[in-house]
Amino acid sequence: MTYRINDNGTDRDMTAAEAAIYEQAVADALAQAAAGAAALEAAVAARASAKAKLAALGLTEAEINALTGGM
Amino acid sequence: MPFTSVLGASSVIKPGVCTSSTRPTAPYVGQLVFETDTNRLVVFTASGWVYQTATGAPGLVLVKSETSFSGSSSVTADGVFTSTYTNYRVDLRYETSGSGNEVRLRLRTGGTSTSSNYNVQQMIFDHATSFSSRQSSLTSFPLSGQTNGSFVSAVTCTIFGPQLTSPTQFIANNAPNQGAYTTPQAGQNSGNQSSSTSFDGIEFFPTSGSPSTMTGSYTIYGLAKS
Repeated sequence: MTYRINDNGTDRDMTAAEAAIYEQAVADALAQAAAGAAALEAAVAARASAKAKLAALGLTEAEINALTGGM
Repeated sequence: MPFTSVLGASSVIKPGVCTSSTRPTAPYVGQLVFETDTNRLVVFTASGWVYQTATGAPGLVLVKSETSFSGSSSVTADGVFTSTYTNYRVDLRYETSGSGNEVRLRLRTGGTSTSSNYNVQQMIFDHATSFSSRQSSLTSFPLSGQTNGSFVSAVTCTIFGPQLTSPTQFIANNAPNQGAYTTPQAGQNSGNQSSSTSFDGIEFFPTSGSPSTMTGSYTIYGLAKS
């Protein structure tokens, strides 16, 4: 695949070497973003679980929000 | 006397134009003149002459003029970080080709991007919900939250000490749009590139799509030291 680069203000095709580096950079970034998203989803799930447990203890939504900062 | 000696740039008499040593000798309060030797405006007040502009260069100095890019998978700017300034500001306005796109940053030396030692703390505000996460030892620095296609998004990033032989710090505020302009997010990505490397350039690239591209513009400013 041909990739375009804006190289210091000039548009051109990437060289094969640049394309290989770029593809590796994107692959790494996507893997890191996925790991970050998984961590976020785990945190969201933990938050929802904690809220459910607080509600089961009898806390109102306002009280739960007061404890969690509304998050 | 020819007409051109009375009016215009060749006029012998130029009211309001003088030098710092030839100001009006009998000024009135409110009189404004321009000094050609200092390139400054000065107004006469009850307390005397007062300059109307600060001395020296402005605090935000253009280093790289607004540069447009279109359909680019990578955008580079080399030779922009020098010892003239310690800290820099980068403004990036863009839209991406695909959904779920982050825009990432890598610092460069001599035209080569560095792919190690980026660390980030992210805070994302999405409606009434907020998220935070930290990642370390990344191969690039996440500048923005995820955009969703052809909605203009923006990042302003202050870069502290890229040209110094010590770790470089980033504070990036970003405003991606999630699928519509009515669903903007707010994000702050703070972090660093922890190598003691002197960098002179920067690269931006989007991360998803086939190929992943972005269209927009960027501008780089130096923050005056004094």
